Amino acid sequence: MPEDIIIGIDNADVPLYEKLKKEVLLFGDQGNTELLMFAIGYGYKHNKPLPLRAKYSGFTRTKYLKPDDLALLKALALQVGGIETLKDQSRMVEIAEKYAHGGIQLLMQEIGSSSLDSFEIDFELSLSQHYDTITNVQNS
Amino acid sequence: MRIEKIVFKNYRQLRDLQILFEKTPNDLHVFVAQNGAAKTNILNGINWCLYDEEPHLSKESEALPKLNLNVIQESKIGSEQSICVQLYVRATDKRLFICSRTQRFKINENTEIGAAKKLPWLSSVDFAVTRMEPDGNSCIYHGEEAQQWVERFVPRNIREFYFFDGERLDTYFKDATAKNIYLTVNKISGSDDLRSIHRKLSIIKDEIARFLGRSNPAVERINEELNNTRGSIGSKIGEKEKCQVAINEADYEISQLDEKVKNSPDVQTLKNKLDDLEKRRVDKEALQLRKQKEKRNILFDYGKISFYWPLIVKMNELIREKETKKEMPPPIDEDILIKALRVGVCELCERDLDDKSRQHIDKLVYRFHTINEVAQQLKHVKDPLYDIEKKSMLYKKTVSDLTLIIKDYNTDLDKIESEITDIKNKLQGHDLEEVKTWYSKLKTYKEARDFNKEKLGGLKQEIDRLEKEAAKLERALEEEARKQSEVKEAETKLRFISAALGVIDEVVKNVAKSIKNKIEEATNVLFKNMMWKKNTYEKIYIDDDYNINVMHVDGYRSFGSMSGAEGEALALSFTLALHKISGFEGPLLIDTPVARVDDDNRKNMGNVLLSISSQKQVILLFTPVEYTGSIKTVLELKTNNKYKLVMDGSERETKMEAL
Repeated sequence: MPEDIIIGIDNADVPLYEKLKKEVLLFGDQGNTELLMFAIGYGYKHNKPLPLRAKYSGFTRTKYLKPDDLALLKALALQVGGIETLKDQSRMVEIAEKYAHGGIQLLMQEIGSSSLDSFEIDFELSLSQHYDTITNVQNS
Repeated sequence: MRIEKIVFKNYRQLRDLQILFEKTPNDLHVFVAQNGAAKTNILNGINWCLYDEEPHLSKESEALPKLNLNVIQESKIGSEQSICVQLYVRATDKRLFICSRTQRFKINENTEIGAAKKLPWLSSVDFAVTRMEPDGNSCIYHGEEAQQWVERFVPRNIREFYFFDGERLDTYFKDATAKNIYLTVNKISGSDDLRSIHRKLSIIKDEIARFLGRSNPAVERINEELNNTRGSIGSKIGEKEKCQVAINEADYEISQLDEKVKNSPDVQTLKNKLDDLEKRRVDKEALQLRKQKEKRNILFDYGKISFYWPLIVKMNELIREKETKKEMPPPIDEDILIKALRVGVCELCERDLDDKSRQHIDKLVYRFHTINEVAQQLKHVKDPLYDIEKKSMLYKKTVSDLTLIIKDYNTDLDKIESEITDIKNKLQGHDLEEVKTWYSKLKTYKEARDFNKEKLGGLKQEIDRLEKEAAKLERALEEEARKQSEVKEAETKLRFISAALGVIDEVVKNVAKSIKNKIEEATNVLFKNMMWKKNTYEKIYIDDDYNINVMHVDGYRSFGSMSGAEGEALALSFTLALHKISGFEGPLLIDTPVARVDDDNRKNMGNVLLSISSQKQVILLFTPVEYTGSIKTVLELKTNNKYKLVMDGSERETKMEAL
């Protein structure tokens, strides 16, 4: 049984997550774990790991991760920390927390720099392109 | 009236005889004849001439032909002969009537063995009355007309009181006295005709009564049913009229309201439509929102995956590499393998493990433990990553579908919005409450009109049905009424007939009573004059039951103690009283008048008859034995009309000689 580890966020990010849920429709229905996973992914995409200055431990825990999410975090850990990191769940969480911190910061900047509508539209457009890319790759 | 002459030609023994009845102070005519010398046939001849009857025919005479036997014998076969009796009658008004009855015969040969060789076959009959006026004019009547004249002399039904056998005087008050008197009074009173009418009316009354008995009680039932039906029709017509009034009112109100709302929107309808549109809009928006959220969730999920996508690709490559190098744990559950080794049975196929299987499982378990923890971790992420990849491949179609749906919702919402705007524009500028009231009223009146029209249709059908029913009942009632009409008519007839019968009864009773009283009175007078015992009998009376009684001077009834002569005198008094009361003062012809009177009283009877002859024609037919002694003495002194009837040598013809 995997051990249950707190996945912390930076104290400064707590209001960001709140704001994200309240103000951006795309995130309105999501829970903390889901938002965290999004922020980790966003931080990874933009390669923006940031160390936490003051950790907030009440956001979520590993036991709330779905198997998919856990698989994704392991994939991140493999990428960032190498293959041995797969055996170290604490390390995996630590990596995730850093990318989450960077990711949420970037995301909020991104959102803040565009209108709410255009963010969602742009986001959808980028996803469409991504889909086309990966399917083209697969087909090729 | 009196008989002046009788002429017999070929009538029985009276082949050629003419009797003249000359009038003398005592109109008394005496004929004396042996039995069989045609004495009684003079009586029969008179009856035959006047009434075509021979009531006093002896049994011997009945067997003989009416045509004189000598005439038959003397006649040639095929020749014709005739019988004729003529009665010359002088009426009180001096007119002479010659009554003549003739029968013509053809003499035929009779081939019947043991019978007469010649038979007279009746070929024709004739009855004529010649009326001779004093001035010499005459008129001849035949058949019924002639018979009617006879009825004026002596009516057929009372002829027995004029031309009769003396025996009648003896027996008249002996047998069935009351009945005889009753019948006599009825004959005299002429009530027979009334009684005949009474009988006929009674028959009709019975028929009517039977008809009434069959009268139909259905009339009342049908009438009641008809009245009920008519009542229903009336009620339905009332309802129909109310319906029509309501329809008319509604039509009027509708037209008024139509005029008002002509340029006004149907607020209520539009409002309802608006409400509906708004509800649809809310629903549609909710659906859209749900789809939008669904889409956003898809975007969110795929967006997250897209961030991790390179990691996923790399991880999958690593897993494939490990698998290629067989560094991945076998795709089995280690716990199952360990359990199988422990119990010796495969949990999957439930077979006992043999040595070979046990060795194979040992190898697998060993391999499982020898592969490192990293490989284990890789193994755990393999399936989730596969699921992520698989799910990601559906992203575009899912998003595309959702986008289309959302777009459709948008289109719908735009349309709804447009309609809402349109309605709102229509409602703008109107007193919506007033218009709403108009439309409300319009709707109410239209509903009322439709309701009443529907009701009216139903009522018309119902009225139609009821009218047909009523017509049917009318026909039935007419039929019954026709019968009823006949019944009413019959009842009227019945009442009339009952009344008529009552009147006839009363008339008959009163007439009979009156006649009875007159007869009683006349009989008393005649009997007192006639009776030789002047101080014996006080009074003769006929009671209500038509019993005749003779009251003795001493106060007791003495009818039963009267002698035969006294009884005959009484009968004669009664007969003459009938002559008087009936108004037919005809002659008195008595055959064997004193045959049943003892010799001591014959003188008295002779005096009585002599006395009568002073007032009316008296014709007496005596037997020689009868016409003897005191009566002969009495009578011969007062009459020259005395004849003797004698048979000729053939005993088939009678001759008359003066006595």
